[in-house]
Amino acid sequence: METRGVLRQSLPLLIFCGIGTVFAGAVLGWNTETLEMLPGLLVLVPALIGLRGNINTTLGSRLGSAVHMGLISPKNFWNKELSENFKASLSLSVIMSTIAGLLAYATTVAMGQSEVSMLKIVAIAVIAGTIAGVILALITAGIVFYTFKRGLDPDNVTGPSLATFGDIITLGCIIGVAALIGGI
Amino acid sequence: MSIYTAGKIMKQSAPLLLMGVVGGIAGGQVLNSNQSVLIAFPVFLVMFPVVNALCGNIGSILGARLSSGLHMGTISAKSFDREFQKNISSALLLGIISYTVLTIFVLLISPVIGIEIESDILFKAGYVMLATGLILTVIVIAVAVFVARFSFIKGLDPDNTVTPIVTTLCDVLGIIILITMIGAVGI
Repeated sequence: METRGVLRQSLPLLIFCGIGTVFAGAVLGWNTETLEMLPGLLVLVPALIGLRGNINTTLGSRLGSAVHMGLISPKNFWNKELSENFKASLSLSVIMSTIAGLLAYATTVAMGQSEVSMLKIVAIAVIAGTIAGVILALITAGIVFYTFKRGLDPDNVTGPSLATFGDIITLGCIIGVAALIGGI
Repeated sequence: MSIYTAGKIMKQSAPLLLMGVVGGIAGGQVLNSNQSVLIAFPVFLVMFPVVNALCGNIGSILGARLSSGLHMGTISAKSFDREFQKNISSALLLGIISYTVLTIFVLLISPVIGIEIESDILFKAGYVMLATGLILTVIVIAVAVFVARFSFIKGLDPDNTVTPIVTTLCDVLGIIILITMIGAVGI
């Protein structure tokens, strides 16, 4: 494929996703007090954003393959194949968020910042990670269902749309949960 | 009996997810030890997810294109032929254009959405994001090429290896380079 073709197909999507991510970053920029109130919170942010992106884009591409193979269809959507996929994604969300929380706590203390609360950091990671995981799993299933019904290929749509919504929803959940827990 | 089982999906995904978490925490530590400058100049908090995400996307697009080329035999794993060069120059152009556009966007939109940028750091902030983006683009291209070729030669499917490796790398390196550039321009 010629360079021009690659640019024409990829550039609009890259810029669109980039603009979405600017607003995700703005969620952090608006909430500097929450970051100051909870030492160690910033450590969690890149790990949880990355985790959400990885768990949901793989869910999206598996569900895309599943509709292509006819394992799920708009008429037979909420079946065992879908529920196994959901179960895996949500369990991974809970397990990996817990690990992220514990690692964030342990490394922050090791770096010499002793005023970090283990309970708060792990609770924020697990609660925010799980809530964002549930919301994004439902959005993923919704996108796959809707695009397939309309005769589009979900594989072309899930990746970029999850990359855009995923960051905003994840950061919103982290900051929301942190603001609640930080006040306790 | 369903084709997908939660246990199998989890077993296959866990190692790479774990690698991503460890990388993310490393990046997070770099952010955390520079928390005071980030809170004093929140525009950099707006920038870092954008810088990381773009770099990951460019690396993933290049990785997917190289993988398809290697699978179809249109790209050789050993030489730097014309098809290969076109993929590299496309990725380079994608990086230059998208980082330029988004740097301008961040500088213009931030005051509108309530993220203050003092006028004396406006140009420095723009320079930090653009320079970080361009350095990252070059690194991510080199890494995507190396991982795609190495995986292919070793008999692994580059489709499974390039994306998780480059996105983790971008999370860590993006933050390190951004923080280094903030220091370099004297903010």
